[in-house]
Amino acid sequence: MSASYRGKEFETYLHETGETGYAQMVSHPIVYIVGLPGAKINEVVLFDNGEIGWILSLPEGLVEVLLLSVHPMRIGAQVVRTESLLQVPVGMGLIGHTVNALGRSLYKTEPIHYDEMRAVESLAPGIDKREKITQPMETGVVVIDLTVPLGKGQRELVIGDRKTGKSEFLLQTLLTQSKAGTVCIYACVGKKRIDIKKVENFIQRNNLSENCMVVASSSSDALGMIYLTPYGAMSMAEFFRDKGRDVLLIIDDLTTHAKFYREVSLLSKKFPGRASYPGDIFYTHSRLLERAGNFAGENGPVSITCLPVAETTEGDISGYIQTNLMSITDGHIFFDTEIFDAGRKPSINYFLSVTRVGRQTQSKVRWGINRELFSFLSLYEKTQAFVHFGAELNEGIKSTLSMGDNVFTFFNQPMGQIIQLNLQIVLFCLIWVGSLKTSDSANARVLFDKASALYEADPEFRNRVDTLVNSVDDFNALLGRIAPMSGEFMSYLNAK
Amino acid sequence: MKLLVTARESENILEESDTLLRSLYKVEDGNFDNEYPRTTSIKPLFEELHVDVRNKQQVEKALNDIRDTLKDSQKIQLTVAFVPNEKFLDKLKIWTEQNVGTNVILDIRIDSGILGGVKLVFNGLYKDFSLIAKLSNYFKEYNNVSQLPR
Repeated sequence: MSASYRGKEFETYLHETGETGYAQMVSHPIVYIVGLPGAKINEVVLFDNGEIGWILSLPEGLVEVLLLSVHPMRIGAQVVRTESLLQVPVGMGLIGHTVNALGRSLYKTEPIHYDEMRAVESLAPGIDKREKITQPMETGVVVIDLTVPLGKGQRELVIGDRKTGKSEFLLQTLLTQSKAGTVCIYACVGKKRIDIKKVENFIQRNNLSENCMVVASSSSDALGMIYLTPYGAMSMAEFFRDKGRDVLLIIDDLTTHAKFYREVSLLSKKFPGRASYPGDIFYTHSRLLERAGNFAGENGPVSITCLPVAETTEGDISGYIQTNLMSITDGHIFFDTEIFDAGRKPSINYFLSVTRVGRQTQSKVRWGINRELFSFLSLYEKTQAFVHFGAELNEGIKSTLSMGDNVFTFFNQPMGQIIQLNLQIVLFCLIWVGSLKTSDSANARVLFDKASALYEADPEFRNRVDTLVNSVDDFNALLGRIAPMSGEFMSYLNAK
Repeated sequence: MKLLVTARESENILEESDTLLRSLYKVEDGNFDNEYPRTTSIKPLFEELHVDVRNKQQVEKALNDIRDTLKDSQKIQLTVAFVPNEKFLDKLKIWTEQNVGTNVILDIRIDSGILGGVKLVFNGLYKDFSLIAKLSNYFKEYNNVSQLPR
């Protein structure tokens, strides 16, 4: 079978371009071609065995090509130019599927219907096409929504050691946003196949295929494909944005991406910089993440909210790639191993986490809660340290500790459970006024689950909660409204 | 140095020059005749270049020059439908020398599928003057014309 690319045969490209080349040297996945006088950087080339490559650079007399295949190329292989940049097929038909970086389904199921082709690499829109971030992005995770709020169009780095709950948090966010109608793209970069399967199973189990898709490359895939995965995912996100849909793009993870890019760069003999990374490693990530944001759309602002993930070792957030990503993004959520070991999940260290644009999206009520909560949590941490001395505790300290325990039980959220924003505010107020005690954490969890399910299923309950929260513009005023009706509220919940 | 050879000839030259270079250490001046007569490609070249085979240094320099020349030579790839004889190759070499220059390696490939004519690759540029391409174009045009509404 003759080699082909995008419906055209190898011979057709040969006749159209009138140019050809031959592989002279192979340092897999880098292939050095002699010939192709009209080659351009970022152009796609087609080999005679059907494999495609991507022109990385043009050293003297040669063409350096990154092969997008696992199998090494043979010396002497013939190659032609396709006169096209690397493009990825995009379309509404991608939703619900798991595809690779170039838009091809990973499974041999029905063919995917594409609407158009988009360049994998494109310039980030300028400032004239952007709008201020004003809408909150609900994650459904209490500790984030109340302490480290996010906005639609924000780039927020999720950073922490391995196995600290980052992926669980991301899936909870995906669940919340998918139910809200946001298109969610989960990009797995160089992940184990079992991890990719877990994401797919989560989407199927929660019936999220209507709004979710996965762009995946496993660790055994070609280096070139792993490198292109986040760029392909971003191009797909831009298509949905241009169709007027808000998009949530999760890139898991960029430290792995940096390692694979380092391998490609060292093989192509680029001079190694700090930690052997190439000098353009910052640009590699910044040009990707700058394509996310809040943009002016035809019918109002549309956003691509990006949650890139960075892995740390031993909690060291001062690593090269980690600090690069922290400076590119609009804040970071830090998953602390010590908090994880203490049994709190999600193990987010809100004191070390930052949100640079999330607070401007908060309502006055949320802002009030945020301020009170941070002040209280700071006091609680100091009190905890004081308690270790074993001194006798007065009533004030006991009440602080008790309230802290209640709040932390509220913060502890199992995998797969989400609590909607307005409901979070009401439940927090109930805890704050002392009506809802979470000392029996198992019962408390059951209550939160019930409330969350009721909020989704019962329009009257949802309406009451939303009206209550939206009727005031001050946290203290809200407390004043909730305190008298807290008994009634708790009875209603317990009765259901 | 002028060198106009086919790909097979250049491979032979490189192989023989490699053998000779490696065996040079065994040879004393004036005593090179043991290895040298066995070469088939190097001998005519040395005669053409008037290399004194009794002088070891001259031999070494000539062999290195030949290898460097071949390395820097341009390559023309020709795909033809028949196995060319010596007469054809000589004509080809004369034409190449007049139109392209010297220091060229002719890489001749046989593909009977092209029916006739030649496919050329030179400096990355590809030209198809084969009979099969002409016939394909002809039939394509014929089909286009025959499908036009009457």
